[in-house]
Amino acid sequence: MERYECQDVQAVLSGLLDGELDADASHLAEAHLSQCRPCRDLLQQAEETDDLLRTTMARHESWPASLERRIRSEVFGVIDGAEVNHRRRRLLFAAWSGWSIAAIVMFGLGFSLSTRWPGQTPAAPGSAAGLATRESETSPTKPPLWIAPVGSEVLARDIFDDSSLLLAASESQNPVDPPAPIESAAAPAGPAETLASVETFPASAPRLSDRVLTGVESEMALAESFRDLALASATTPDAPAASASAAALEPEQPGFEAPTEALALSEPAPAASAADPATAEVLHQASVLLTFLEQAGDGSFGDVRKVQQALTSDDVLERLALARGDLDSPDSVDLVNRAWTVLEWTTGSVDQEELERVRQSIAMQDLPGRLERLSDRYWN
Amino acid sequence: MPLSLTENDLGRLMKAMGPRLLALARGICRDTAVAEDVVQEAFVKLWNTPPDGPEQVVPSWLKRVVVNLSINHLRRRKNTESLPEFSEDRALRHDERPERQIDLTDNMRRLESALSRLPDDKRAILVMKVYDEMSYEEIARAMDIPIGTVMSRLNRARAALKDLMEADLKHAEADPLIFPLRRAQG
Repeated sequence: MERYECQDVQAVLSGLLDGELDADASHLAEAHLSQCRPCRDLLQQAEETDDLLRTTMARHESWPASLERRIRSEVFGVIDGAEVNHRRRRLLFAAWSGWSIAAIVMFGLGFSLSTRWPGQTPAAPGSAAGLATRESETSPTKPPLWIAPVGSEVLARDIFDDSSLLLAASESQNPVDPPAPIESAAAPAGPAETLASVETFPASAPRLSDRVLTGVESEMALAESFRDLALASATTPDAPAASASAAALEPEQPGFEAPTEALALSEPAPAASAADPATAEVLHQASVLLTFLEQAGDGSFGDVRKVQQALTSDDVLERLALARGDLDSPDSVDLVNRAWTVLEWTTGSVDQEELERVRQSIAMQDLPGRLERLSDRYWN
Repeated sequence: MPLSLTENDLGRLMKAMGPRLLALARGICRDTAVAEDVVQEAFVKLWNTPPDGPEQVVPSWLKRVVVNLSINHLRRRKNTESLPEFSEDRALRHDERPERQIDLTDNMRRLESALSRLPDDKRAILVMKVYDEMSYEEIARAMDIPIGTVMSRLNRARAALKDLMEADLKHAEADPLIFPLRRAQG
C-alpha cells in the first residue's frame, strides 16, 4: 500500500496512539495525518479522552485501612505477628489467672462456710446435703468444674474483644492513605468560597449528603422537641419560657448551621412577608430543580446535566444567594442555604452513589415542598 | 527460587502498590467491593506463592494477577457483549465529531458514566492499556487473545466510549430542562 486513506488511519488509530504500529504503517499514517485535518482532530480527541480516562481513574486511587486489615488478617491469622506473640502471652496469663482466681474463690468459699456455720452439725447420712458434703470431702483440692472454665473464658473473651483495640492501635501507628476525596461537595459557607473550592474539597470533610442527612436527623429530633414543648405550652400559660427552652435545645453543629427550619416540618403559620416576585421566582426555580434532581437517576447523568444547564443559563445559584438577603427569618435563610448547597453540589463532579444519597436527602427534608411554600409567601 | 518476603515487605508493597492496584481492579470490574476482593486475593497469593526472582518482579507480577483475577470475575459474570464490527463504529467518523468544548469536571462525569455502561471486555482492555499502560503483548496474554486483535479491540472500545459520552451530551442538549415559571402559573 502506497498511501493511507481516512479509513485506513482510523483502523490503526489505537496502534498510532499507543505507539504499537510498525515503522511502515506508522510512516503511512503520519503522512496521511499531515494532510488530513479531520483525522488529526480525531487523533487529538482520542488522546484527550485517554488523558481524561487516566485522570479520572487516578482519582480513585485509595487504600482503605479496612482492606489492609483484611489482608493482614488472612495472611497472618487474626492479627499480625508481633501481636500474635503478645496475644499468646496474654492467653497464657489469662489461663493462669483463671485457675488462680478459681483457687482463691474456692479458698474463700471454704473459709466463709467454715466461719459462717462453725457449729453446724454434719448432715444426716443419706440426706442431699450430706451427700454434697461428702462429695466435696472426697476431693478437697479440686475446684468445682464450673468455676475455672468460666473465669478463663471470660478473660479470654476479654482478650478477643481487645484484639479489635490492638488492631485499631496498629492502624493508628501505621496510618494509611485516606480514601479519595469526594470532590465538589460544597461546604455551606458563602457561595463564592464554595464555588472556588469545588475542585479541592478536603478529604477529611464529611460528604455533602452526610452533612445534609445529619441535619435532617437533628432537625427531626428538634422538631419532636418543639412538638413536645408546644404541647407543654398549650397546657401552661408560660409560652415564652417554652420557646426559650426550645431555643436552648438547638444543637450546635460546626460546619453546618443549626436547622431552625424544623418548624417547617410541623408547618407553623408563616409570618406575613412583603410580596417579592423576584424572590418568589428564584425560590420556585430552586424547588423545580431540586424536584428534578430528586427524580433523576437513570444512571446516565443526563438529568444532572440538565440541572447544571438550567443553573447556569438562569444564574439560579447567584440569584438564590442574593435572595437570601431578602428573606424575613433565619429559618428561611437556613432552608435556602441547604437548597443552595445541594444545587451547587451538582455543578461539581457527581458520582452515582453520591447522587443516590443526595436524592434521598432531598426527599427526606422535603426541600422542594418547603421551598415552594416559602415561594408562595413571597408571591402573594 | 521463590522470592522470600517478610511481613514488613508485604506492608510496604501494600502501601506502595495497593492504591493503584485497587484503582486498576475497580476500573475493570466497576465494583469497589469486587475490586477489594481481587486485590486482597492478589496480596494473599503474593504471600503464599510468591513469584520467582528479585523483588523488582513483584509490581508487574501483582498487576498481572490483579488483571487476571478481574477478568476472571468478568467472565464469571458472563455479561460481556459481542463486539460490533469496526464499520459500525459511528464515533470514529470525524464528520460526527462534536465541536463543543466542555470543562474537565463535566467531561470526567460523562466519562465515569460512559465507563459504567461500557461492556466489560471493552472497559477492561481500555483500562489495561490507557490507565495501566500495558503493552499489546501483555494485554493479549492477559485476555487470552491473539496480539493482532488487540488493536482492533482497542479501536472499538475507544469508539464505544466516545459514542456513549456523546450520547449523554446529546441527550441533555436535545431535551433541556425548561422551568415552569411562576409567572406562567400566576
